[in-house]
Amino acid sequence: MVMQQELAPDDDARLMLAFQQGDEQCFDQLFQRYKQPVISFAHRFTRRGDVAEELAQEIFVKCYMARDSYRPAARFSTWLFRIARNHCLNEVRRQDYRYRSESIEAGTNEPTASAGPEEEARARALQRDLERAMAALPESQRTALVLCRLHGMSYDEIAAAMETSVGAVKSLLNRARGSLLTRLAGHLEAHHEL
Amino acid sequence: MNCRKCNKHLSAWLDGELPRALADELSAHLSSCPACAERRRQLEALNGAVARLESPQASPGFDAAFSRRLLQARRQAAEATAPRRRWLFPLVAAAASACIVVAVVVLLRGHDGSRQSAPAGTPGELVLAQNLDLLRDYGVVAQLDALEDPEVVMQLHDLLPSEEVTP
Repeated sequence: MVMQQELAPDDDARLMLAFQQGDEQCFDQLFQRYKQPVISFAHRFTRRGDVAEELAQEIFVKCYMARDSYRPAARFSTWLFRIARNHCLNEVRRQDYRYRSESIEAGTNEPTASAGPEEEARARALQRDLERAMAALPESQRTALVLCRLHGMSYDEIAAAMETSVGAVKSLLNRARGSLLTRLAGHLEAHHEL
Repeated sequence: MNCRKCNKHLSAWLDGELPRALADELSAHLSSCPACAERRRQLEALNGAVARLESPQASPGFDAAFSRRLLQARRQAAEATAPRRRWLFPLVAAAASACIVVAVVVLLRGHDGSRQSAPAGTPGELVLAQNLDLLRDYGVVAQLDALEDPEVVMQLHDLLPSEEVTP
């Protein structure tokens, strides 16, 4: 899923500035635009839909309460995902045991590829293994990859959201992809197509 | 460009994040190196698979749950600031009382019954005069018998610029 690329970059900033001036409807528009990307982002941390929704709600509450800290020099999405990442990190670390155990359980409960056409079974197996391989990545590598490929952010934006350098983002993405290729080598060799 | 350098930059090349010159160099290498071309194919396939990862859709009750959570957070924030105000009130009242006492003493000592002279006052007196309504709201003024003296109140009002005098 690529994030709302049809929107002008400064449109979100305009809404956020209006919200800072007291226009609550502008925040509601931002909420409607970004709730799905934020749920998706949180889901990458927990692999649980219900927890992802809780985290997403908490992230938007934080954005609402911290509205005065937003500066239009940064894109709204950068600011939002910085808050999202920090919140998810704190929550996952705080309740690490819970997420870890339930994530493994959720992984084993995924549908198996025992039936259906061969292509469908192959795709489902790949989806399952990719989910696991993503979950096994270090958090910073996974976050960079999610922001890049699922949310369509540039390296500059990812660097701002993760509070690091563009060079570090490039390195994180390179290592993340290298690890995933290694873990998914079986799929590549067996089917020659992901 | 050799394979090692290609491998280092291939990921950024696929994301369109390489400078033009380096991107051209890498493209040229890919067209002549089957091993790196195969890695490119694998990475492109991987990118496609990542983009197809499923994410849960917002549940029907998501918006309502968020509204409740936000309302709760706003209430908690309001409650967190309320005790501070209550704690501040006696201090504000005490400070205002002290200012008023000083100002009234100064006014009474300087009061000679002639109000024909041009309005004048110290900065402290001016602040006091400008904030009479606020001090009444805090219940400070009402506690001071001296301000019930019409002469003192009139003199305080005379200190204000004409446009600030409330009718």
